[in-house]
Amino acid sequence: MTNLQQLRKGSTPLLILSILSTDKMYGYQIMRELERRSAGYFTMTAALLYPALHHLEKDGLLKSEWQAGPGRRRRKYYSITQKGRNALAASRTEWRTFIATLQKTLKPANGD
Amino acid sequence: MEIRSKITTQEYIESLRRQLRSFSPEEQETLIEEIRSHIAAGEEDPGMGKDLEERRNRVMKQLGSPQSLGDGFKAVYRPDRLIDWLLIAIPYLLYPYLNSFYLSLMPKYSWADIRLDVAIHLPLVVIGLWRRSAPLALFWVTIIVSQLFAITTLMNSYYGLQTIFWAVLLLALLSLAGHIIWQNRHDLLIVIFGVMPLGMCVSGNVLSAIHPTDHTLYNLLDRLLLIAHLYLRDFSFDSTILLAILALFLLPSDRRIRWLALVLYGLMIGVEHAYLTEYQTGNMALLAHWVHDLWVVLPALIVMSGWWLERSKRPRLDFAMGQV
Repeated sequence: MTNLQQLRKGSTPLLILSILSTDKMYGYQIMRELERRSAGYFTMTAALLYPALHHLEKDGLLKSEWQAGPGRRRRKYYSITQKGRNALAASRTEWRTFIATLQKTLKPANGD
Repeated sequence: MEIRSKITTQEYIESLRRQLRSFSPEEQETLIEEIRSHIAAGEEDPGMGKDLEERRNRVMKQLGSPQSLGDGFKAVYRPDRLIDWLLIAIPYLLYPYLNSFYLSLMPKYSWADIRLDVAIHLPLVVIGLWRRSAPLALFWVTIIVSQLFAITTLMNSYYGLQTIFWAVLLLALLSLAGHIIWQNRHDLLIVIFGVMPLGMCVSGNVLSAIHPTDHTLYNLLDRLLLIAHLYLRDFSFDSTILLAILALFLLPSDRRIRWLALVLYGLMIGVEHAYLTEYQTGNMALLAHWVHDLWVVLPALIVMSGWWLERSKRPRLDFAMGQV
């Protein structure tokens, strides 16, 4: 796995919490919303998304409920908890600092 | 063409079901229902393609393999942790009998037990790694390391040249333990479960070389600790209690219970250690009192520090999925 892939994988919980911070959604909806917001840059397989959702729920950062969907099928909706919001706020600050420092470091020096 | 896609969807679900066989049937159904619902949502999404076939193919492509999905769920819920416990309990209970049997076959080789120790426990470490179970691998690594440490540091003259081989194995196992602990560095329960017994083993051997002496009479605390130690050792309660504590650590999902189990595990390591009798003869304590007292409470203190650290830090978002 390349460093960039590792970085992407590491940002999965942050992306999920960020998407769910505005509204409750089901798994497929989260996947599509992520693609839409990142203009296709972030794509996530179900094999990555669902274990991550369940992990976040187990840690108390998300909660879920089954609701009736179209036809006879049910859908499992996820929403963020207060603990999840706190974790998201702290993580956002951390990532902003990381990105700003990275950009500053990568910026070519005068004369380069 | 549509039939082929339908079979593919069905095959995917069946393959996922096989991956989830360590879950209860109800849990399997719930997890599979969510994935079925995901596939159905993709098939109904006009943004995924102009016809059903195209939409279905695309959604199937975005699922990822059933194996990685199953591994992901297993990493979250650890449904087969009972098997981990059995892989600790059964060999642990059988080992004394196997050891006696082996020694009766080869009475000339009093050191044969270490070979048997490695022959039985090393495959269990490998099984732990194969099952991606950090507690299982760490438990058996600790057992072998404690034996090898004694051989290479306290009894090296007894084993002669063999010591070199055991020392190399010891270093390899310590590196492996370090690797597993590092891989699980975000889970303090696992970190402490690995570090605490290994740390006590290493510091115990270092202490044996220094052994601060104190030729004074036993005090009340010494006597109580010694009684607890002898009671555990002589009545063979130690195996039963240890396995009960490990069940409490491995089986529940509630982390508070698991931390409690780890505190008990620490206390047991402290009370059970041979230090309590090794340097005590008659009514005279040859080892300084503070060493005894510190020895008993130190592992539990390490565990409680870990618990406090976990409580005080905010939840981490960069959890590692499916690591050993």
